[in-house]
Amino acid sequence: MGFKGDLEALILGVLRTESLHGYEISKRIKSLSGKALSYGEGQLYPALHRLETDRAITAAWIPQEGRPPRKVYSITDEGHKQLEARQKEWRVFEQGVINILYGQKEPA
Amino acid sequence: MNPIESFLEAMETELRGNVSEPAMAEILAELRDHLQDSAEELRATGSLNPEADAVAEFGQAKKVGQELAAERNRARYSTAEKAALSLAALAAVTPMALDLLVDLSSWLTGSDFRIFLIWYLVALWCLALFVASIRCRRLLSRQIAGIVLASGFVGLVVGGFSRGAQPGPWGTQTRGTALQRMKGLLSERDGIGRIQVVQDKLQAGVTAFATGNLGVFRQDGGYIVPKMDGMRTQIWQDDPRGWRYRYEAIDFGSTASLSEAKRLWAERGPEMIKLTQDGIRGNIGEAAELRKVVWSSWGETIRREFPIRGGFTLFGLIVLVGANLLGTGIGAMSRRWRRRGTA
Repeated sequence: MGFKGDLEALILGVLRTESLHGYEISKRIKSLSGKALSYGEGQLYPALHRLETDRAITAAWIPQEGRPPRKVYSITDEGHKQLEARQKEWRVFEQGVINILYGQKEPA
Repeated sequence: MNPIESFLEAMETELRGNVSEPAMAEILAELRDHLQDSAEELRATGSLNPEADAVAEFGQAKKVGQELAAERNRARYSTAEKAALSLAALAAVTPMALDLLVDLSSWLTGSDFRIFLIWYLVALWCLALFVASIRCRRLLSRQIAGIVLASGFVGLVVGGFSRGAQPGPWGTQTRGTALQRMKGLLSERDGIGRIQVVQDKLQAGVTAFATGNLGVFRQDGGYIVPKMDGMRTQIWQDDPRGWRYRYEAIDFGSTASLSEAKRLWAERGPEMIKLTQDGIRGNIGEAAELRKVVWSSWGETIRREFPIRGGFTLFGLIVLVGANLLGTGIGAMSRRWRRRGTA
């Protein structure tokens, strides 16, 4: 596929409803996008760290039954704000691409 | 070795030294979880080599490691790093303030305690770099500290030369220093004289090496180093060991260009010598050993009056690099010891 998504926005979108660990986030992005959006999984972690530094998400080590604790990410209020802003940006972008690809007329 | 463990080992190599030990341990644990989950799923879907496939899907350890390290380094500075960088900035700014202080005090007292301040600055720089090297776990921080320190250092050296080459109150300070030196020579000629010869040679050697004398030509028994504008008058002593520099009269310093200075010398040389001799008599009285008056450039005067600056450049750079390397080495060793302690 020629178009690439905004990985950070996708992470925020996936975390919008529940807290997830890194591998699960990666799986969700693939499955929810119908495998249209697939990244080298390694790209996920720098993006997670970036969002964490920007306080859009938080991370906590959650104990697992019969397994070592696991790092789980949750979206913050700041993250929700960022997601909202990116959703708006996406709408504008999406409309722009549609206009060009489908030849819609320019708004008067 | 298991491909996942090999991958994690490669990742550790990328991260070590760029992120703290606890952060690195967390990152590796998280990536291990991810890779193991991925391998399990691949195994369930019939992969023959799930660990290797999981690693392949993940990406290159080097690239991911570098990105992760860059992200971690983008995070806020620790208190220790802030302290180290502040110290570095202080060390860089201090020369300007202290140099002004020295000028003022020398102007007022005529004494030359510049050398003590230079040693103080060397010590301060070394301390700052040493602390920065140990405490700044990020290479970038160390480099910033190094650049800040080097800037301050260069500022002192360049500022010293350029400032000395200007007319004004600094000329008075130069006279105070030279006069003080001359008085010492006159009163304790034998004792200090021998030391002075060795010191002169050492200073001349270091200065020549550090600053590079581009051209020297003799003129009426003296010489001019055509490096900077303006003229100074030197007094030389006829000594059993040979001609020796004794005193630099500054009464006729000017800001004439070298060509202008040459023209003045050609037209009014003898007259200027006489004026200078009169001026010196007015300053320090008659002295039998003061026989020769020659013209020289400002640059030469400054190098003679403050030769330590030239040597200091070289010496300081060696010390700065040494302190950085030593600090980095000790920092690395202490991290290794801590790792062993926690292993």
